Amino acid sequence: MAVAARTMVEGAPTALSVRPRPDFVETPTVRELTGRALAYLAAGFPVHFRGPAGTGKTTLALHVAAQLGRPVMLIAGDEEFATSDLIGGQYGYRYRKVVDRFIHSVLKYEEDATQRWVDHRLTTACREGFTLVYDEFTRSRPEANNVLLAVLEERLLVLPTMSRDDAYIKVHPDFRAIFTSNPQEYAGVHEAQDALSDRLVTIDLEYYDRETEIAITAARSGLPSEGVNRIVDLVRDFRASGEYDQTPTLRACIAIARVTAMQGLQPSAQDPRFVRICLDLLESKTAFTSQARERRAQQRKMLLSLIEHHCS
Amino acid sequence: MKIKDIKSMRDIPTIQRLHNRSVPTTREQAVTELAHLEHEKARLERELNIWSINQKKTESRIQQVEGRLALLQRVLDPPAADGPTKCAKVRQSPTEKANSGEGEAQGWREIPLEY
Repeated sequence: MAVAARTMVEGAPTALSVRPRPDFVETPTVRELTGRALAYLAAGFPVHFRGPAGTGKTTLALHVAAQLGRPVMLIAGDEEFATSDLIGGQYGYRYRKVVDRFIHSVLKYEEDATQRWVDHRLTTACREGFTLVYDEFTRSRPEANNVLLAVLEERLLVLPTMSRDDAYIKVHPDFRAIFTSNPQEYAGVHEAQDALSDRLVTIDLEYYDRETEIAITAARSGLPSEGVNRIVDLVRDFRASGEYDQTPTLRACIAIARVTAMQGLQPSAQDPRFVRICLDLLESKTAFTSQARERRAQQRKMLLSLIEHHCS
Repeated sequence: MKIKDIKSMRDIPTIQRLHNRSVPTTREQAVTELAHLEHEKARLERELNIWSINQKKTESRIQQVEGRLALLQRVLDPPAADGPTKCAKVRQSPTEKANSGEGEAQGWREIPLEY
C-alpha cells in the first residue's frame, strides 16, 4: 500500500502540516518556480511538476503546498493503487440494536447492520478543502486516477453509487492539487492519460543552477562553502560528461558533502578517504555488468581526473 | 344573568349567583338567603384550601422537574472537565459537517512534516 498515512477508520482524518526545515534554501530560482505555481493554483488550476529524479519535485510541491496554508494530504503513486485507495470504500459493518422499553409492558427490539463507508485522502481533501500532493502519480495505473478527472474539471467528486446517501460531493473551494512525476523513469511507471494531463498545468523542472545547488548542499551538509563549491562542481562536471547510466543529482552532492563534514575531512584529492567517498557515491551511477567492466574502468579514470581537477 | 357559553359546572347559574339578586324584604327571605350564603362561604373556603394545597404540591413538583432537567442537560452536554459520560454523543454526518463548514478546528488531526 502506497498510502503515506492511513486515514483513521474511526475518528478524525489525519492531515499533514507542512513547513520548511530550518535549513531550507529559497534561492531566486526556487522563489520564481513557487510564484509561478501559486499563480496557477490561485486561478484554480492543478499544478504538475515534471522532471527527472533529483530535481526537487517533491520538496517544491510541499513548499508550494505550505504557501497555501492549508493542511496537506500526501499520496504516493503506486502500481497497486486503485480508485478506492483514493476515495475510500466500504470497510466493515456498523451494527445497531435498539431495545425500547418505554412502556414497561411492551418490549420492542430493532436490529440492523449497515455497511460502513470510510473516506480516504482524496475524499477528505475534497470535503475539507485540503491541498492534495500526489507524488509520482504516474506510478499509479491510469485507470486508478480516473476519479480525478471530474474533481479537477467539474469540481465534483463522484462516489460509487449505493455507497452513501450523497453519491456526489461538491469539491471545497479551497481544494488544490499538486502533482509530481518523472518522465524519464522507466521502472514501475505508466503513461499519464491525456485527459488528466490536459487538466494539469505542467511545469518542467531541470537540474538547479550552480548557485542553488551550492546553497542547498551547504545548508544540508554544514560543510564550508569552499569545499561545497568543489564538490558541486565535481558532480556537475560528471553529470555533463554523460558517462553514466543513472544521472548524478543534487542528492550525490549532499551525500558527499555531509559525509565529508561528519568525518571531519577536507575535500581534497590528496585525501584517499575523500576520494573513496566520491567513488562510492558516483561510481554506482553506472550499471554493474560484466560487459561494462571496461567502461567502469574508464569511468573511474575520468572520475579521478575530475576529483584531481576540482579538489587539488 | 344569561350564560351564553357554558364551559363547566361553574358557569351554571346556581346559588353562587344569588348576590346579584335584590335585597330581600321579608325576614324569612333574609334568613333563608343568609343560611344559603353561609353554606356557600364554607364551601368556597374549603375549595380555596384545596387550591392552596394543590398549588404548593405543584410548585414542589415544578422544582423537582427543574432539578431533573438540569441534571439531564449536564449529561447531554457535559462540561470539558467532567470527562466521558455514558451518554452516546450525537455525531454529524460528513455531509452535514461539510455543509455547516465545521471541523476547521477539530475535524482532523495534523502531523507536522518538514521538507
